Amino acid sequence: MGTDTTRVAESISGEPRDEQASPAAHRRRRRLSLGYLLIAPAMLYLVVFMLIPLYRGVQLSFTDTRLVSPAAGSYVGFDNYQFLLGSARFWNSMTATIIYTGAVVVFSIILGTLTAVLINRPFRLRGGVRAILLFPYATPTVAAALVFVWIYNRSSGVMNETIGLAGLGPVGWLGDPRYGMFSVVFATVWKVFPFVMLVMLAALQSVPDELYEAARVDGADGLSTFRGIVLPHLMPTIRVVALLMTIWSIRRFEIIYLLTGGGPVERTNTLVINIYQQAFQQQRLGMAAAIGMLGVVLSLAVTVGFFVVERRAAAQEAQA
Amino acid sequence: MISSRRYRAGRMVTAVLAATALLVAACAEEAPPVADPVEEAPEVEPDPDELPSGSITFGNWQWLEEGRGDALWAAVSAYEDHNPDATLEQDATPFGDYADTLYTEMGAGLGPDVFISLDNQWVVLHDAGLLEPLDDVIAGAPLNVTNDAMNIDGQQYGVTWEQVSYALLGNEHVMEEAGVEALPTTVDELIEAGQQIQDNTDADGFAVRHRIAEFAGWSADFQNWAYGFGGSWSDGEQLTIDSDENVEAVTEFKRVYDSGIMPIGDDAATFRSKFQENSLGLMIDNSGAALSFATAGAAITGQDMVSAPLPFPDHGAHQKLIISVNANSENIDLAKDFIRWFVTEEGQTLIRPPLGASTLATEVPLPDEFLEEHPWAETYVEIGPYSKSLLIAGFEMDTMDYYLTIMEAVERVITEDQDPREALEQAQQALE
Repeated sequence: MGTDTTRVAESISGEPRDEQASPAAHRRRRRLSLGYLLIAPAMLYLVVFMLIPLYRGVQLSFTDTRLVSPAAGSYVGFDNYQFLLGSARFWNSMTATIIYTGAVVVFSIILGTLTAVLINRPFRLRGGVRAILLFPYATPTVAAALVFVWIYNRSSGVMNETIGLAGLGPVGWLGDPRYGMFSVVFATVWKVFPFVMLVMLAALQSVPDELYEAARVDGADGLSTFRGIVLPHLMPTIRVVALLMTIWSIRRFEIIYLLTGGGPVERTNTLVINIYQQAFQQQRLGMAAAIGMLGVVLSLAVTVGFFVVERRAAAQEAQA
Repeated sequence: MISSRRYRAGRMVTAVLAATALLVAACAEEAPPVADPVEEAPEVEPDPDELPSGSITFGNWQWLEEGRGDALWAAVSAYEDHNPDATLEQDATPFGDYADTLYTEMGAGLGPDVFISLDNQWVVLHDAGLLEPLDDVIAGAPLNVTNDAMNIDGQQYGVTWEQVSYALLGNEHVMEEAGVEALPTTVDELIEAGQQIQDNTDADGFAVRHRIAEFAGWSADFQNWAYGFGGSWSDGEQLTIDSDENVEAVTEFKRVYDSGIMPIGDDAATFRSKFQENSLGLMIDNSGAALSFATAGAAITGQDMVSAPLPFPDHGAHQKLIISVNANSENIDLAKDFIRWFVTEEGQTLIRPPLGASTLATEVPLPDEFLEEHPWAETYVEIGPYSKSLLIAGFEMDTMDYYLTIMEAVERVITEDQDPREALEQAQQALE
């Protein structure tokens, strides 16, 4: 191990052997060794829990492996991918994933940011209000989903009781294809917006008070102050939060599965729900792995898109 | 899976499928499952020194059922008296996660030594070669025809734990308050009775699963409608999804769904709780669930429940729960010896009360005291022999795969008002 580390250090430093014998080179080598040692746990984690499963997933996606016989699958080439790309069910899943992800990201960022701006101002019981607003994020997802099943119940749920006061409904929030996606997005946004709020609240602390004061002196109203001062300061944070929320939304399972199971009429049948159905209900582990790989492609596309946008934004800021 | 010695929790048997193609051939002929003693083996008291020893795990979601779970465990634990060197350990997983857990564990060469599975799960596990043959331990046991389905190519890979059938259940308190004097016998009467209940009480009229979020349970429950109107999904060789009978079944289901008597959105756990708390008048459910209602210590007892055959022209479905031995068990001898004991008169008699009105592996009559305490059980005993397997004949391994497409078609009919024939034709085309 030590020899390996030394060899790596030598190859990276590119310094001649006799020079490395000097005390300075020795110190550098020790620093490098320490560096490798420090990143080793993270690398080990990545290899064991990310790279090996990813590699195994890629392998599986080219086989017809069944769930109860994971070692007995045969190589089928691109058959699984060919089937999926020609399947209406898969494209419906892809569409549902994009709609769900887009809606959750947009609404949770808007709600989280506005809430953060509001509770950033000093007022009585601010600490208590912040704690209450964090409550949904602290609630276990399964418990939240079960509560929402009750809230959405057509015959006795709070949602229908509420709209009933206005003479509307009853609506099948989880059973009617027109409302299925809305209901799932609403429950998810309720659950995740406090995270956005928390991050935005931290970012708001970095806005210098002098800027607010200058805006006040210039006679700027609340909206102008938000657009001219707060938002530009929040934008880098919003971009990062948007990326995280997107990736998390693409792979979110529990709340969707518990609320609708992918229905009604496949309206909320996102990629991860489809993976679950293929792997566990239909036993097609190979097919499920292929959907997973296409999901990885979607996530990668989003991530690459983010970095492109981020780089352009940075370049524009530098020019300004 | 969660392993523990004692579990008290409250999950009900919700349901999924039943028997294999061989059973269809055996049972679809409206022939009662007559006891079929292979040979009358003399009862020999085993020598305890020759019995295998150690401990085995027993996987079943029913351990978690309020009321019934403890009674079931007490019954099977009597094996420890028969074999003092053996220890049984519970391996309990809620029904909703049971199949996933079982498949994953057994696929990895692990899992409980002895376990219960539904017949649609059983065919998958058998096909994967994960079940131990049991011929040597069941020889001489008077097994009835319900076990024939688990005899593949002359080898027995499992034994019936229970076969549950479906009937119409009524809550007598609610029916009395609403002025409903008798259980309905047709869909028209069902809608009328349901409306009467809703008009005259605070209770819901009628409930049955109806959401794809409960796919496994709904797909099993819905077969009662298909079979009840004379339908089936195949003729043994070809799919018959868009047959006239199936179209009629979907149309009638939609009529009930739209009638306003159902608490739309309620899952099985919710409407079953409502039934037990006098907030639901009528429901279609299986014999296992019915016994749970009667013994859960809720607002009703067995005396407060009435039952009748399904309000359809024909008989409905049954689902079979099968007990098998894991081929990867580290203590196969003990696991098989447990099965040997289970099919003896002692084992079957002990398991009869907690399994209630279900059909067992051998013909064990329900005790008179049980029938007095649970008068609703009579109907299940009567209809049991005429019920049909949930597996799609000729397509057993693909049953759940096909049910997903079929139930999505039914879902389109009830939620998007798609024409039933068109929806079933699309399902047929998609699967052909």
